[in-house]
Amino acid sequence: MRDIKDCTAEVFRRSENRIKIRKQRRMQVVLYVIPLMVVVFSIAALRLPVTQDQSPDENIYTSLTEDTLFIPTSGTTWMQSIDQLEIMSQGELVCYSDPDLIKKVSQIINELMTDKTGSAIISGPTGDIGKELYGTRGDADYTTAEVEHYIRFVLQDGKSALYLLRGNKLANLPTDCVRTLTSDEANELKNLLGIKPVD
Amino acid sequence: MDNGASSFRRFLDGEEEAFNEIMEELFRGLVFFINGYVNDVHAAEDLAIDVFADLIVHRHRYHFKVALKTYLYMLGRSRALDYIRHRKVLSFVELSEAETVADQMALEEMMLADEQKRLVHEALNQLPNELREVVHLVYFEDMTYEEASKVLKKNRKQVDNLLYRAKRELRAILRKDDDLLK
Repeated sequence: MRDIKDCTAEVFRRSENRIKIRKQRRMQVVLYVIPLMVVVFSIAALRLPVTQDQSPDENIYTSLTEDTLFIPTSGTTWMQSIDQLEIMSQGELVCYSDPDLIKKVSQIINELMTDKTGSAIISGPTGDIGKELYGTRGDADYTTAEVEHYIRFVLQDGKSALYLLRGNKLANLPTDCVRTLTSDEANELKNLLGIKPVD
Repeated sequence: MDNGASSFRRFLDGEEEAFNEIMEELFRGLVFFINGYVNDVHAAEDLAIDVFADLIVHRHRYHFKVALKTYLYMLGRSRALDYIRHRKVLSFVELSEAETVADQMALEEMMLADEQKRLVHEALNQLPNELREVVHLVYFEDMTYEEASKVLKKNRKQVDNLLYRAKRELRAILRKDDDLLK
């Protein structure tokens, strides 16, 4: 049997060896991982601007602020200052600048979102845009599967009027106003916007 | 007496000498304990050295929640069971069998200076493994039931039961030996 001092020396020798091995392993990991990370980040950095151009984030409209949003009024003057029409569905953005199309779409939407007296509807029946659009969880009409189409009119002063068409429901997002369209109204609007009906 | 915890604190603070105190206090006991599993004093010594080396390498794994002795015996037990499972892991210096037996006796003499303890230990060797382990920890290593239960990975009640059975069987063995002596 070994003397206790020899054993202590052996303990220190083994522990030093193990610490050395651990350090070497850590260094190896660092040596492999850092270049790998650099490569991955470089590829990501190069790819990111390209993918951003190709498929804009569907939530870009949520970043619109009060300063950049325009709330359509009862009149039709705002329609004359529309520069561009954008339709975004499932991450795909389509821009229209044809004045005839813009005029037709804006007129239809303006009529749909205006009450009998001619003034703009400013709030939904329940006051809750989520309930209006999606129904209430547990209700028969509750669904999250419908495709959403964002309709944005870009005005000359840079402001935007923003609508959401979901199934047969049309919402004016800044005012939280939701209108249930008849199937004829919905089809007419979808045809104009080039939206194919879902089977 | 805190079974090496304060020495280990000093060692963590950079006082290397404190580790020698831990070795002096706990090393032989741990070798003796591991030997109970592997039944090879050199292998036990090697495994105990490994346990202490582990303590240094992974020094921050010990959180002072249990006694250092309990912690080391937990490591020692798992190393010993591992060794029994593989029987090949470590390289030993080849020694003659006579030397091994002599070392074993020397270790027992060192650990069991008391004659009564020695008799009990001999009787202990006739017990099943788990009974022997629990008696060794509680009566030879002076561990509390809680500490023993941590080393053996059993609960307090199981340790209680094992000790009860061990005492009953030990009593029978010692009585038989006594009758034979007479």
